[in-house]
Amino acid sequence: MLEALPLPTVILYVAVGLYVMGFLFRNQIVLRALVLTGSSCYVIYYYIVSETPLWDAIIATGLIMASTAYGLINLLLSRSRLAVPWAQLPVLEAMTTFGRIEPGLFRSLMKAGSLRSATEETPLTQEGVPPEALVFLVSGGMRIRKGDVDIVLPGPCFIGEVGWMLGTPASADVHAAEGAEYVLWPRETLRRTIRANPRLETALDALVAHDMARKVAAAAPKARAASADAGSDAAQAAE
Amino acid sequence: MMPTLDFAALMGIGAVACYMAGLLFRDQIVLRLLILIGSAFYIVYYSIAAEAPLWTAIAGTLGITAANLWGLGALLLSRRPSAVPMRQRGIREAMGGMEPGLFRRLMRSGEEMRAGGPIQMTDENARPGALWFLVSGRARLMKGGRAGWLEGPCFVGEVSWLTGSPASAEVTALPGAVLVRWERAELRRLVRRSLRLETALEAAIAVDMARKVSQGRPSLEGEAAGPGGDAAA
Repeated sequence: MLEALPLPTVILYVAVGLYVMGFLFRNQIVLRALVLTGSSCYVIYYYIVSETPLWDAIIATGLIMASTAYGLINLLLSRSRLAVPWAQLPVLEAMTTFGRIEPGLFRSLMKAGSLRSATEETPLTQEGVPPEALVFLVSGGMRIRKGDVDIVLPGPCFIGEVGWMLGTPASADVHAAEGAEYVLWPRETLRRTIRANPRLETALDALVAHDMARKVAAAAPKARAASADAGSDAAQAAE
Repeated sequence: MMPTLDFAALMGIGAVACYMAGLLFRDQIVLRLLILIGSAFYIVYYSIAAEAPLWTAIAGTLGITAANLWGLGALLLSRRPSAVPMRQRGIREAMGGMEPGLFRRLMRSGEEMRAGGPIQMTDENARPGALWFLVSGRARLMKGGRAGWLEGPCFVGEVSWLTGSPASAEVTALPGAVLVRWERAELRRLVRRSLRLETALEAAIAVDMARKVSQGRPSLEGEAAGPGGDAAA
């Protein structure tokens, strides 16, 4: 039969076990939470293992706990809307009507762009010219001119997203209507930002995917009604 | 005069400093490398701090080191293109170069096939039961009684996957086409477990859709391909 282990030893084993488990996880929140709990066990162990508490070890473990907690709080904050400045919340809400983005990444995205309000009709893309910026129309409308077509459509949506992804020319003149609110990311600034943060690039592309799919799905019934012809999900993208 | 620190104390301080610095980083590779260095300092410290090596502490630190090394190895492996089986590397490239570890997970729930005969992938006005990737070869489109063509590599059924809307055409892979099929419900379960995978898949679809929009719709019989563009806007 196993002899009962002394309490300090049990606590030490638990501490080591929690650290080991923590480092087996890739999820950083789980990793840090387990390291934090393991460190708490270490502190208790150092406090009771000898007649007088091992203050040096307790202080050292406390420092490790502080940096773990700091990292954990940062991680949790980056996933919370608390990380988003009040003025930018409408932009995040507009984006999440069709997709989703981690609030921390959204903040990084917004740092590379500027939120603007159109006091008059403002050109955003020009037909045949690669867009110099990616635009997100938060609210208000946009005027699209292409050949004989001249229509006003509402946001929220991206403008210039295909040019942004592929560097191709815009297929229409698009203007922000008077009173429209939009975020504008100069192409080069945004390119630099996402180069430094690949997670942001993936998140932005995923948002754009949802936006394009929504536009295509909305265009399909109109196209059908007009006896238009291109087909399939794949083909819808071209409509 | 400043008090001098002995070697053991320096090792202890080095260990704590590395652990602290590591846990401040969000980049997991940096985090784990610093913890690894910190653990090495700890082992030296526990070996020399007392008259006899503190074997229990050394064993504990070795356990932490092993777990950390395992995590670091898994992390590095998931980023190596060589982690993708040779026959799937072309598919990954065609999809735009998703992170190898995520791509492998995606492919594990997919079914690779070569069309021996025509394989219907979507039906007009019906919600597809699967997301498809046409790796190579051609597919025929039928919409409103008119025919067109799609050339791989491209996704098929991706708009429905993202929006839940019905497909706007019947798409049939032609014999010889190489395909990957993800059953819708199974893929949904998979991405629900991993936001990273879901985002990576959506990012791959974004590039594919942008390409389709930019190139214009597939040509249908009796007409030239039309222009697409940002005016999906």
